Amino acid sequence: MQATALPTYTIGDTVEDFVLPDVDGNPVRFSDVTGKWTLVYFTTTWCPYCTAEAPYLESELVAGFADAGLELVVIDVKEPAAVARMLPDRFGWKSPFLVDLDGAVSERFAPKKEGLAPEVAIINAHLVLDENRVVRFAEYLNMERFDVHGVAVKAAIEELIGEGHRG
Amino acid sequence: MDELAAIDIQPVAEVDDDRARIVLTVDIPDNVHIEPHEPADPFLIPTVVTANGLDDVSVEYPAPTIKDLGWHDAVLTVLQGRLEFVITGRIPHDVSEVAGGLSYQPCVGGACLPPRTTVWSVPLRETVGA
Repeated sequence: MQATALPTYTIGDTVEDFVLPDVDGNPVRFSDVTGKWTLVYFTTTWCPYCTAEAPYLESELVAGFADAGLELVVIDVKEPAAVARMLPDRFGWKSPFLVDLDGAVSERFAPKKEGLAPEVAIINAHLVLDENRVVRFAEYLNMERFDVHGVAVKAAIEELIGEGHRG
Repeated sequence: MDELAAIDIQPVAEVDDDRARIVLTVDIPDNVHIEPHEPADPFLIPTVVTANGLDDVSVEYPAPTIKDLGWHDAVLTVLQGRLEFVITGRIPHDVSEVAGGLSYQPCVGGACLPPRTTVWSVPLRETVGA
């Protein structure tokens, strides 16, 4: 499959199922680890914004919506598992942590940013999917309004979950 | 992609007997910052200068600045703008040129880029006390 020939996911698109290995090389099917709501987060070990946000991602942002069924899936972009595993090891993440060594899966989620390769444009992105794996929210790195606590993401999830409850 | 964070390095060498002092003047483009030599977080990629050809090399790195992004409890120290890296070392008898690299991990306005290395070289000529 040539990921470059496929369109980028945007709001309202359904994410196709895929399989990526975890840091131990075990294949993980995406649909097996998504939930009622899923926050998909893209990272690398060398991204300073990711490292700044990492201590709060699972324990604060995602844990705050545990009752609503929010799951976290982290995808490391274009790093070997031996390098990538530093992140879950360091931050104690228990959520699925997938290794996209060639970046092909990440590319499908990457925004079009002039002059940026997809595997770069996707780093530090947060996407919220519903239980049908439909993209309901996407936030890409913006250094001027970056917040380690993910304020914008939190607000979006609150709004989405509110909609879900009303529905 | 690389052009986004391409940096310019201007090396100038001063030689005094068997000692060399090389100043790398580095211009970081507007809207780009790189990590300092000693980042605030040990997992981040430090900026490192290498100099091949000299013995007993030491490098004086520029002091970082704190980048204000409105974070409440996180500190990001960065290098940006015009910087000077000062390299000193002893010149072996058969060396007339020093070459090296500046390894760094840049972030631009909308993205962080993978680590990369920009190479530099400078001839050595007696310039002090000649």
